[in-house]
Amino acid sequence: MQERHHLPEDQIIRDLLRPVVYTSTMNWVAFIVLGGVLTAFVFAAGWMFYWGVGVTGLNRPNMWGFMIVNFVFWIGISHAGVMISAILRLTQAEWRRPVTRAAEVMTMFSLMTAMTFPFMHTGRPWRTAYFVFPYDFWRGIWPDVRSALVMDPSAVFTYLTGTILFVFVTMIPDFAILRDRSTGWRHGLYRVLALGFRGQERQWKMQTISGFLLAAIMLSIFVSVHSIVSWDFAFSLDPVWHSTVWAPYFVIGAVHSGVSAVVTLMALMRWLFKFDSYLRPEHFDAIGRLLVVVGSAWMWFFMLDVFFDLFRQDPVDLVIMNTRFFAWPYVLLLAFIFIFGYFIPVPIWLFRRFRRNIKVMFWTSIMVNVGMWSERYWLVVPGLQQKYQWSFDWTSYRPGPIEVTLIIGSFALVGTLLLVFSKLFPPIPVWDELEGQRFAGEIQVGKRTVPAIVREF
Amino acid sequence: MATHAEHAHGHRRVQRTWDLTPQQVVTDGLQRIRAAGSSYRLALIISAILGVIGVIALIIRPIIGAGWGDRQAWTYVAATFGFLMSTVGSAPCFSVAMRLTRGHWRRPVNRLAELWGAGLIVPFILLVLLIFVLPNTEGRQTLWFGWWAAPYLWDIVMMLALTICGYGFLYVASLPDMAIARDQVERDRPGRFTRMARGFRGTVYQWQIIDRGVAYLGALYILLYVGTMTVMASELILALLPGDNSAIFPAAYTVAGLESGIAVTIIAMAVFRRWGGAGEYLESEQFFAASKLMLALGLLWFYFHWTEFVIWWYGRTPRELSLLKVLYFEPYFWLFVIAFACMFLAPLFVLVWTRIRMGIAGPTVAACLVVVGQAVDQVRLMSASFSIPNIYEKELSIIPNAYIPGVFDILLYVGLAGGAFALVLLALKVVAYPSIWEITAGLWLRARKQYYKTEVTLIGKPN
Repeated sequence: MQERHHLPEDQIIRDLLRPVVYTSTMNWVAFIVLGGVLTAFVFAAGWMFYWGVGVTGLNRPNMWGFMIVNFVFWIGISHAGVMISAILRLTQAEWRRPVTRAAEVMTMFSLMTAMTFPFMHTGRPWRTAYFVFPYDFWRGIWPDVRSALVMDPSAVFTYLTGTILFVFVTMIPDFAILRDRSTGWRHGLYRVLALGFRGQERQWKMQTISGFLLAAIMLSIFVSVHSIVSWDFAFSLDPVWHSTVWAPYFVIGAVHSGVSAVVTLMALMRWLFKFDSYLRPEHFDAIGRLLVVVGSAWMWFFMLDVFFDLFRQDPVDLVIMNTRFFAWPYVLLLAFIFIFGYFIPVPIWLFRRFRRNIKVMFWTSIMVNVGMWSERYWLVVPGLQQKYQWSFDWTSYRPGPIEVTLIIGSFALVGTLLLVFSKLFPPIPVWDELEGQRFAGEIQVGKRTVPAIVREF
Repeated sequence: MATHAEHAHGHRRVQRTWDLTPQQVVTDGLQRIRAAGSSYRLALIISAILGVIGVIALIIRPIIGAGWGDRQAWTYVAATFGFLMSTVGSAPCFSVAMRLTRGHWRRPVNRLAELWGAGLIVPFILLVLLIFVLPNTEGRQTLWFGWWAAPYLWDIVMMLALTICGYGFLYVASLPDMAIARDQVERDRPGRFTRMARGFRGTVYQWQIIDRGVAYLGALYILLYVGTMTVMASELILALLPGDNSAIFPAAYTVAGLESGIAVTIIAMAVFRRWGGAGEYLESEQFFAASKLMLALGLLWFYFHWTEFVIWWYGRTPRELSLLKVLYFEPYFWLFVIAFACMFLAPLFVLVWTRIRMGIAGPTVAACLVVVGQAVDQVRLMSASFSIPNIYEKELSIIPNAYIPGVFDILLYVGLAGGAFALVLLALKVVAYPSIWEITAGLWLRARKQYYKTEVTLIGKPN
């Protein structure tokens, strides 16, 4: 069913630049609330740096807890950008247009947020400056470059660099639009960022080809980043961690949580910025169908991991699986994983009527991320707390208020960064929407008028 | 101003398919049903003879060998089963995937992918024979955890469900064309099409049933295929290799199957284009799109195998080193090299070039190599797993020597594959190619439009 309204180009530009020029009351409320939570985040981090990592629940053998779980979670959320932007750009899916920028920018900010957690986890993050620069080879310390823990920062920084480039290239035409419609310091900022873009044929050609090339390059980086993150665990010989499936399992889980986060973001943008004409039910319908496939693939990998942990009937593996399935709080987390991660949202998404309901999509997407956060915790912590051979070495991990504050604060950090971004740049690509308008059409089939799109061959 | 497509692909011409009239499509679709050509008859005879040879070899092999109970004697039966599941069984999944993405290029290709499902009865029969060679689940690695009648009953039930679903999917998807054949070919003399079309008259309600039937059966087929391949990979390979609990292996096995399914569909496209008179339906757009997917799955094949290898390599426990030796580096090293080259390197180096993907020969050559690679890989995996003398160990203590096939092994491998192909060819006498109703729908949903200095196509998106 055709929902696109043919809007004049002036109106499209005005609507999509509205968040940049006008700050609504709800925007201010969001800034204040998020700012408050962010303050608590900074306070909690400062408290931990001052008093030491001992204020958290981390202790032998649970050296990794909430912070690594959150690191993995935010890296996962960051995969949405590449999934939606790169893959849909390469396959020329029309419905990607209003979604790509929000997905790409969320990728960028999620990655930055994820990277804060290993730094905070060191307890004295300033020391990373003088053990990273110059790198240890020159001082006679030889880090094992075959270790996933050494490959990880390289992968994440490469991904971040690639994402920033990708976002930048796809925003150049919008910088030009903003440059031509602004004054003062904003005009100077946009003029620099626009790199002299004037909409000439060659410039468009270069911009389009760069976008395609970067999208193709980002795909391989996107797979490798979360694979390497999974290998932080799987390369070790810890029981239930040392599994061959973790790399693609993490990647597909990342896509599942990331694309769900994009749905959450789309619903919030539609509500906050009044983008009803641009983020239409058809977009939620399309992304919902994608989520059914991605969610089902994730469930398949989850079942593979569980079944093959039990396959060999190894006594050590069985003890940890027993903990995961029957011990508190893991039994609750397992329920969250199954129910919130799959068995509520995916059956709902099978029905078109619910996929096109924005409220339903919003709440189911949040459920998925509750389930996926629980899944990361369920995967990581039980393997650690019973990793040693002797049961007197086993302890339970009890996260403290500092860790909980850091987790909640990370959501506020991403939210704040996204709001600040929307004050400087349009959250929906203006040039992409204008192009989509040109490519939209209709054809007559019998008595019906059917929406159509232009294809070049 | 040159279009983006020309910059990206160097191609401007619109496919001739969309210039045809519905009447031309009907004539072309019913052509093989009305009268088969000599090349069709020759192909059918050869593949039927191969099928008979395969059956004879299947019966004789255990008789002249160490008997029906010797698991190693069934190696090539298992390899044939795996090969057919990865080709004939997986091609319909390609059709379902194309329908899910709602691309219009798929219309001339769907039927070719679905037709391969006509051969599903062959792997089903092979599994029924093969499954009783396996011991029950007590004391060994298994997915069934002591379930009653496992693995025999459940494996057969899964395979039966897949087979029925595959035939059902083919039937429902071709029902409107059977109705056309009833009306055009059997006008005055009701025959098989009248029975099979079951009163289909093209009412709105009937079309809704077809749409939903195709969608639900297709989705069910994919779920059953993935589930069946997961179980078969576990049953026929992992469970027989002591200490092998590689969770990624079933996924790798399934993805390899999906890659081969696309490969056999591309080969069918090339054959029909060259000898089947379907040159107007199968042009570079279809080969370009299908080869992109095949390349993506080839990359995924490598990724899954690499993750398995790297985890075992980093772990380096004696158990993992034994598995690396038996599967990759010792008795079956050269088979692995061939499979690696054909299923990953060849598609990568051939199909990474846009110009080659836009042609016909490039994707076809890559597809042929993928099918060869799949055939070799199945031999590698089944030879390794079926050669283990003691599957009750906790880890592999002795790496067995490579299993060298005899004449009857080769005959049954080639012959049974030929037999499945014969069934696919027979299906062409009742299932029209090209898919008349889908191509005609595509004709209605396209229009040409002048766009500045170029001409573009408007593609309708009713959903």
